[in-house]
Amino acid sequence: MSGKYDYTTLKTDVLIIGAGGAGLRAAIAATEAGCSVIVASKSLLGKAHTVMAEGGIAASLGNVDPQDNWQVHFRDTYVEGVFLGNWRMVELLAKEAPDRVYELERYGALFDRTPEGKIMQRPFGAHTYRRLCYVGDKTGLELIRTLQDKVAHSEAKILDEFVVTKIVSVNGKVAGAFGISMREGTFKLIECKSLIVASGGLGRLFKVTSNSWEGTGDGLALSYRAGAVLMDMEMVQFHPTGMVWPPAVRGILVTEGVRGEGGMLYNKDGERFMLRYSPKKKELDARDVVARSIYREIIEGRGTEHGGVYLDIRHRGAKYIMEKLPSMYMQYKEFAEIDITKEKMEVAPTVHYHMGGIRVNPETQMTNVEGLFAAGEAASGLHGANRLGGNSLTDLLVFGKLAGVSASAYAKQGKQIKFDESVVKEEIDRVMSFVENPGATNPYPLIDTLRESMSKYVGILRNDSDLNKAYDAIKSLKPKLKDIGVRGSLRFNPGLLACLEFTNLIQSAELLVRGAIERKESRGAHFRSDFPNRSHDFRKNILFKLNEGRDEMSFAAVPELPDHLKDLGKEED
Amino acid sequence: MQEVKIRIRRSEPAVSNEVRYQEFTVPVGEGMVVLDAVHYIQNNIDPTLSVRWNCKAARCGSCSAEIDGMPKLMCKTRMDTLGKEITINPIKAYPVVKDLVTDVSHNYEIAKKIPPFTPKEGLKEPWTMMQIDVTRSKEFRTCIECFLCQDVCHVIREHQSNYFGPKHVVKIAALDLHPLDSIDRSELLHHDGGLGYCDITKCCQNVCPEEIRITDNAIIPEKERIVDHAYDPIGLLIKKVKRRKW
Amino acid sequence: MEKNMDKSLTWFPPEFKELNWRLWSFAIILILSAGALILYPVSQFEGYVDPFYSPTVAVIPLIALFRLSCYAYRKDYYRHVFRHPIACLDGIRFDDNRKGYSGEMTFFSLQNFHRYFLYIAIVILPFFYYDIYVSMTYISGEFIFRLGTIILIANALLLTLWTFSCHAFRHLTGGHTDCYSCKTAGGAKKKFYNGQSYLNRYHEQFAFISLIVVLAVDLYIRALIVGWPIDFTLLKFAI
Ligand SMILES: Cc1cc2nc3c(=O)[nH]c(=O)nc-3n(C[C@H](O)[C@H](O)[C@H](O)COP(=O)(O)OP(=O)(O)OC[C@H]3O[C@@H](n4cnc5c(N)ncnc54)[C@H](O)[C@@H]3O)c2cc1C
Ligand code: SF4
Ligand code: SF4
Ligand code: FES
Repeated sequence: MSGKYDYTTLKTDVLIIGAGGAGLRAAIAATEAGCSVIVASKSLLGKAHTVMAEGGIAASLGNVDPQDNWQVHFRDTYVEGVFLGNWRMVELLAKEAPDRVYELERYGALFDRTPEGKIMQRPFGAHTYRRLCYVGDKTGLELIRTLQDKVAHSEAKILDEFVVTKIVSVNGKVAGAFGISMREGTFKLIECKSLIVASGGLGRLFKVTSNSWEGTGDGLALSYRAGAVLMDMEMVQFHPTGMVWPPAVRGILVTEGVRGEGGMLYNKDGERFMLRYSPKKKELDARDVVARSIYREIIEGRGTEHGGVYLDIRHRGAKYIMEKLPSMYMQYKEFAEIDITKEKMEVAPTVHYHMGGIRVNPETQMTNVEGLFAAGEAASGLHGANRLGGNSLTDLLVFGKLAGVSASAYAKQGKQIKFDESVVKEEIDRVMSFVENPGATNPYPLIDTLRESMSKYVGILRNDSDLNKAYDAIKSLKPKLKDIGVRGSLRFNPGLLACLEFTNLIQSAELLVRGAIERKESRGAHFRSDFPNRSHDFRKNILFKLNEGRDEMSFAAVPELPDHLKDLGKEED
Repeated sequence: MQEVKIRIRRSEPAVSNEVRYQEFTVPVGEGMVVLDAVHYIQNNIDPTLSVRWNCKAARCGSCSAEIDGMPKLMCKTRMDTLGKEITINPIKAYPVVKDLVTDVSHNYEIAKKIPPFTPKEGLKEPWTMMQIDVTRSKEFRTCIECFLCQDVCHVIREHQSNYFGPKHVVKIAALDLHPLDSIDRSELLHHDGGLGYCDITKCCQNVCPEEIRITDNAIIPEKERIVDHAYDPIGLLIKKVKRRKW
Repeated sequence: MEKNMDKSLTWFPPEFKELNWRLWSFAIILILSAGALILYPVSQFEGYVDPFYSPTVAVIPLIALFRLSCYAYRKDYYRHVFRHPIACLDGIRFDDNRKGYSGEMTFFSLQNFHRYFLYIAIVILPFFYYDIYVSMTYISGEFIFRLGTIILIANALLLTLWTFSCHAFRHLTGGHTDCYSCKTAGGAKKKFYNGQSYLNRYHEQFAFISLIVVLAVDLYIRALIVGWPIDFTLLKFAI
């Protein structure tokens, strides 16, 4: 008979949590450096959230607009991030993007081409030039497949359908991670010399989201508990257009491409309201502006009966629509029985991306915990207060690689940190308490309550009283954490996962709301109707760190631009 | 609100041999898909009901199952296209792990056997490729690895052989048709891949949610490439001559 | 079709439920034409060459092999004669692993010579056009255009469409090419390949309809021999 505390131990140099674009790119870099690598992922290999990315990957190749270069890319990213980004990260992104894209092509990705046979680039919101390299409207899929192939043919070991429940750290140094193999229904401990968190965002914290199942902010909560600093937690990007009706598909993304191809927004009175909010750029203004305008229309009673506004592309004609937006056509046809060539779409903003996350050193992607690295959506600092479309996929490649390189360099010098077995037993106790608790409450309704109050109170337009309502809701949910539980075993037990994720969601939610309350200004995606202006005093990052069981909040000034970038990132108020 | 009866196959082979069909009654709202119904059961009736899903937007290919006997994506199948009584089975071609979750790891082993993209030598960087050369491969690159085609293929489902299966032929076609790729994987497909077992009966093409024309555009062209080097005497001759670079 | 099948009719033979009219009509056509050819051989009548005799009855086996090894017909008889599997839907597939199954690995690997039958078919094809010419000029010094000629034209066209929508032909026209732009006139080649691919989509339909039409021409000629007055003359002048 197996005992309660049974687990198997694996050893590796570098452990990577997450098999999205960032995790896989890091795995390639670390194996190339000669380290042993394990990639742990909650979902099957190749299913990570990154497959959903549509639009493209931003890199200043200048194939269509030769004027484009890394400086312009830097300026676009830094300025649209409303001066909250870390200049060094933005610089690395802008400079390395072309190399990473060409590298992806050498790995086998097949981009759409220009007539001269170069990589084709399309325009996107707030990018000065046509900069997004793309593969139809399935860029993320191609990126994942290419990296997945590369990793599958390398020495890296894939541990998929494995949920990490704890990152083990000792005295500010990382030692390993612990989790459940869902397929085997067993516990596993992975000892490692360095660890990269590439676990994606926290969109699932909200009721209406374009994010996949995995976006529960696990990596953030786990690293936080292991001692890492979280930053910019309040910065959540809303995509202006998500599906609204039927309720079952609420939140699914309607690509920016629809507006790019000339789609127009109307309220229920048939008014093209963007003319009022943004007479110049109209529907193609930055995401936060458009999202806020749509939201205003809805709350001021000019929305549709389902709580959205109309997006109309019919004037383009059936042929054009089918050619340029085939998957949008399919999506509406399949899910909503709406023929977008004949009917208007109903859309409303949907949670899309989390700019905040784990604070890292821009040169190495290492966190304040030694040996703990972060990359991708889980890390923070690059996008500041607003992310440009297409910059995320670039982020995954540039910083995924950087994290892989520095984590393997660290692993080669570092030693395996020893720790006491009691840590593991404690964690087993914690996890098992969810399944060994006969009178436990079902976690699902609690998660629903949390997600509902987040969507309701921490939305596009925030204010002090709403935020405090959310904070109260979180506080009243927190004590219930110890009562939740489900029946069943460790093998593919969705209820158990819900318990674990609820713990992580509550953690992220609390910090997110606290940050939002503290930031008494409006900047990028964070808009306070009680403080509608940007304030220079808040050109700071809000940081959180766990100190002996207490959340400690602090402010850190955004690093000043060095001389060679001063002109590019000038703040014009 | 309407109600629908859903029968789901429940089992956990690692624990017991018991297999039972459990019936749930689920209220159906507008636009609901099968995956929503399964989630309803998880949230309100039985949180231990296992199902694999991820995107709920028909983009990741996780939620494959057999709905009333037809392999489909649960998140792409609307409840109003089905009757009042629905049966959901896990995909049958692969061993069940628990309830609706199956072990598809065999596919990842096959994927390792397929030689990765290998560019021609001496290419000038950055590479140039023409749009006319990339379009054919692109169709296959939309594969979301849902394994529905593998499930419905009788060679995989009902027989034992070394046949890789349609999904992997699609992958091989995607690599072979890359204009700058230097290897021909049809030889591998002929010998280790057992493409000869496919009898082009096109079930795979019928179920693909990405509407890839698997048999017409991937399997038959690969079969024809195999003919070139394994059967056709003239083709062989041409190949020999070409190799000698006359 | 399969999706909407009535599952309550489980006792009903799946061959009928599956609506595999293609297979059944193929069988019926084969029997009819074989019977007609053997019992009442007719090679031509009033300038109409029976398609079974074009150019000579001796090529029939070759054409039959072209049909038999055609991907469209293969699908049909693998499904309905060998039941591998009859349908895709679980429960009525009628395939199981106890039966030895070797697909196209052993005997049926002969199917791989399909392209040679294609070459033969391409050689034979012009004769059908020649037959059209003959049907219009079979009386010396006179041009005549009759209903039968239209049927012959339809026959020739459909046979052409079927032949050139063949998968083996698709391989020849560009299926074997990975890089078109590397070849001379690559753009034109790709265009041709795309056009052929478009036809190829309907290969199964062409395969079926062309067979029906061949039989129809044969029956038409037989009807004329029996004396049916259906062969309207549409145009006639001296040359
Ligand atoms: C619909 C949509 C469209 C988008 N389009 C674009 C676009 O066009 N351009 C662009 O640049 N960006 C786009 N984005 C954003 C971009 O796709 C994401 O930000 C990016 O993919 C995040 O990648 P990642 O590698 O950081 O993490 P993810 O891809 O989210 O991967 C997270 C990984 O971590 C694993 N994981 C999480 N928790 C655990 C745990 N506890 N234990 C083990 N493993 C765990 C998961 O299983 C997964 O493998 C889009 C996003 C969405 C939702
Ligand atoms: S066509 Fe071939 S691969 Fe596809 S289902 Fe039939 S036998 Fe399987
Ligand atoms: S080819 Fe189609 S059916 Fe097969 S795995 Fe890919 S997407 Fe699924
Ligand atoms: S959940 Fe991703 S395809 Fe259904």
